[in-house]
Amino acid sequence: MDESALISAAQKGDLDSFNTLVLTYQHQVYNLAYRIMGDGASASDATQEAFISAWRHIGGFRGGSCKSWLLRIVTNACYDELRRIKRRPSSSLESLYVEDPTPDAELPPSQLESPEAFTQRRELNRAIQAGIEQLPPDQRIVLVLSDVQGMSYEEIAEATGANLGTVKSRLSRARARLRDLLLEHGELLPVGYRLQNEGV
Amino acid sequence: MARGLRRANEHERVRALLSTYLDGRASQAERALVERHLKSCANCERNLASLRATVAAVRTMPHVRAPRSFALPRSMAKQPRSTPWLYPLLRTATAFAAFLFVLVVAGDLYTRFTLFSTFAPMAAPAALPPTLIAMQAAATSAQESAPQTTAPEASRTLEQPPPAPAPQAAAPLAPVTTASGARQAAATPAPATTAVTALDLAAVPGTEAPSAAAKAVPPETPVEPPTEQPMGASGLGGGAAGVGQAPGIAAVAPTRALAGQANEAVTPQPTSTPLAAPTEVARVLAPQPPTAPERGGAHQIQRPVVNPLRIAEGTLAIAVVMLGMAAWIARRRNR
Repeated sequence: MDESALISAAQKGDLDSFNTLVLTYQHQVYNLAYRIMGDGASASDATQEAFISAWRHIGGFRGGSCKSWLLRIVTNACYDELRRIKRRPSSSLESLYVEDPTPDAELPPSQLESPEAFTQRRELNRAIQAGIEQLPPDQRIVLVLSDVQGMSYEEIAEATGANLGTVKSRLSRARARLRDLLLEHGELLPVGYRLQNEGV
Repeated sequence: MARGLRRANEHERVRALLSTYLDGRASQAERALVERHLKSCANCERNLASLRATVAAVRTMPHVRAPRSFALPRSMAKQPRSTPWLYPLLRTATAFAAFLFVLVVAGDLYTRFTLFSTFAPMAAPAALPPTLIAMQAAATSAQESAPQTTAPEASRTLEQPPPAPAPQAAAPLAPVTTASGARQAAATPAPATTAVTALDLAAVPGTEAPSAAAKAVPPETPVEPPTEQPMGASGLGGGAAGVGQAPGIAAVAPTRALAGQANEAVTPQPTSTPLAAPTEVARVLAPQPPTAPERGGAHQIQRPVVNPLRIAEGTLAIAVVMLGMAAWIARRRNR
């Protein structure tokens, strides 16, 4: 069954069709939530909220890309979650005492990668994630949508409800800020990594 | 200098454009500007390189997988997805109820104002606003507690030396007593009702004595209409004077409006009102069985509490709160 058929079935109340869509996109939705929120528990909450919201509002879906629609919903859920955490900082403090599985740490080293390179990559990823979490929510979301999720400016504008100029300037500021944060800590952009990527 | 300024401006512009340039989304003119600037600005070139490395590093971050299935449970199938109209409906109902509430309150206030303004001109148009306020504040307690409260106050007055000699040699008068009670209200918490009693009496100068005062007056004392008595500074005092006037006792009209005294009851203030000897006060207001029948006119004035408008106001206020909460819940469910 193709996507549009699943959607129209879900619009008629078929939960199984909707759950097929959930299983298709849940990794992308969760990945986006995880990169924005920075911890597994909040990412799971936002993802769950996003799919519940999508199910409730699927009647209002008027065609187009289902993936973009879901990513837009989870982006909004992340906004809400960030606001909630800001309002009640205690919940984020509680999460410090909860052992959340960190997906990055569980990724096994690839066969082509030396243990040193694996360690370096893991440290780099942690530094980037920590840097992203220091960005203000607006910049954070635009950066993740663009550079983690690979969305175009237009898609980001649609997902965040901002205009193209705003997207561009937020992204520019977010990248510059992240670069400065990484350079401050001196962790990032090891020479080998930088040259390797600059050569691409 | 102008050239340096232009160069600084260009530098800032290019810095802001580097991200867009990196994505290949700069316009042709912007691209030309950036490329021309980069040839002569090593700083911006380093900037671009570090930015490119940062973006590349972010892009190589691994995609994390969902730790579990987020498929919705079967119980969600029955979710009320088809009630998006509920929130707008409840919202409109809340607004309507709030509008009605405001309307009823406004109508109530208007009615009360016009009701009292029909009596007031006969007595004291100038003293109307304070009278209204005071009556409104203590309308409930005036009827019941006035005689009981006034009696102890009067007894207390008995133990004190008379503050001022009576203007006439004759015995003191009830209205002065009431005024004195009102003044004492400043010092004690209870007498607020006493002052209000005085106001209640005064509010209907042209009519018969109000019930609260009538109860305090000894049964053998005839109640005379106050219209024949000289008015004081305000007709309110005259109204009260008529209440306590007993045969053989000369009338002393209070020189101050009782309404004014009621307002002053909050803070103690000296008064120039000539006070009567308090012994008579105690006699007149001594706890005696109230036997004088209540008259219709006074009765109506003293019972504004039983007002159907008040019930409507309460009901509407509750409706507004309940509907607002329901709308709030509906909105949360819709999200």
